[in-house]
Amino acid sequence: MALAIVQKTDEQLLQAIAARDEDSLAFLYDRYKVILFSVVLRILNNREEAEDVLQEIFLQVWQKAKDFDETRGRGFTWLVTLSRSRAIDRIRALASRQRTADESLINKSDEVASFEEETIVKQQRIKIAKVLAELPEEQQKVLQLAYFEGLSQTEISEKLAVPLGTIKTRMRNATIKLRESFSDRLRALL
Amino acid sequence: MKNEEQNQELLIAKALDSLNVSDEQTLQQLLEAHPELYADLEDWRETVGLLALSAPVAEPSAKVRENILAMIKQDNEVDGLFDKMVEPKVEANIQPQPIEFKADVNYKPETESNLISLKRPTWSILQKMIAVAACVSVAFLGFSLWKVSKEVEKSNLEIVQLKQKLESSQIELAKTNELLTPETVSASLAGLEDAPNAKAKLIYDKATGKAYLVVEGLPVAPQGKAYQLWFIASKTPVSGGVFKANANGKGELRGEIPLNERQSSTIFAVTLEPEQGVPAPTGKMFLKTAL
Repeated sequence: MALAIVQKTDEQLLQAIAARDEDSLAFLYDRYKVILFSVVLRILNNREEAEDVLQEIFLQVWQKAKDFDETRGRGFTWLVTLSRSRAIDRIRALASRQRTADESLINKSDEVASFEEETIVKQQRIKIAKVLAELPEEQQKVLQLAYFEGLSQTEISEKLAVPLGTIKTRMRNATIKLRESFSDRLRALL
Repeated sequence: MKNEEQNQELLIAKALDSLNVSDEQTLQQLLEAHPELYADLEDWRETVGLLALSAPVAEPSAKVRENILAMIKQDNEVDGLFDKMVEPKVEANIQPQPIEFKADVNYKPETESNLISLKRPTWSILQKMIAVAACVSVAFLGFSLWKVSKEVEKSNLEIVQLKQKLESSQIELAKTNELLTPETVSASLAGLEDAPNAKAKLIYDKATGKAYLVVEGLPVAPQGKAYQLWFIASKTPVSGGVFKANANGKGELRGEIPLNERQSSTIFAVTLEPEQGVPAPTGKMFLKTAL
């Protein structure tokens, strides 16, 4: 018997999308629009650009779902990697590294977020915020610069005026801590 | 540092897309030698993916959803239209019925009713011929549309491929442009005893340290070996990364020169080393800054 769309896993939705099922794409969009848009907006810091990139991402999902290989990773990871990569490509294309770090704008996003997110995602958000807060500040910074600014280790080293070796160690330690804090079961819940 | 930790460091940096160009080559070699590490890389990507949840929460406007769904709907409709035209029938399956002409024993050529009865079969043939012609035309039109759609599909594919080429060219150009600054300097390297005809040019930006080495005339490195670039500003040589020369003796390397090594007195050298690279030179020197 066919599964109701709400019961489908990400991988099953991607399979259906590969078979040109519009409802599955709509459902996948609803499931991840907030997570993905938040990442893209955090990277681009420009709402209009972020919406444009989000649109591109889902069109790419529509066209490339058939290339998704669940034996190589989970659907969520595929989507997040794709989104981050598109956003970083866009920012490089725009050559707008001098995003005048509008922290005020970023923080506002939190305030206006009045929509409902799945409880599990909310819990994970709280958990990741806690884990990151427990990391030494310099490790947090390295992760942020790599993940949200798309900087290479050398660029981070130059930006922070810290030796490259130290940056590599900080990055490694921070990521290991992150992994230890999220068991496989917790990661799979996403 | 243990090998395992070094590998982990490379995999984590790769998962974060933060790997330096020279380390990228090292990782590629590592993955080729140990394909089982791909699973580890995927695992680190999964961990790194959790950082997505640390972004401040924001929701896109409703029009994004509308646009996406409208576009995919249109895409499906176009596909559906073409799917129906995949096997058009060129020959219409309509056969003109044979028309029997019978002698009309009551034939009265001057009466209107007979004139009509004589005209009927003539119009019927004409109508059927028109119908057949129309069907053939429609089928031909369908076939033509199908062919055009295939051409469009092919062209779209070519456009995508060209776009990809353009993107990679732009990336290359951007990388090259990074080196074209007022701070750019170059150094020539000349071949030594084992490769007297070899030569190389190293271009680097004194401010950022971004460097590009291009070599030619080097022999192909033996199995398990690769060439390694060194910066020698003091007594301790610093590695600039490993590379291989192709069958034509050409090779290239992009990397960064550490701040302490960006001096006019720095000597650049290339030695033959184990393909993973070594912390200090151990092999024969093939190229050295030309004086």
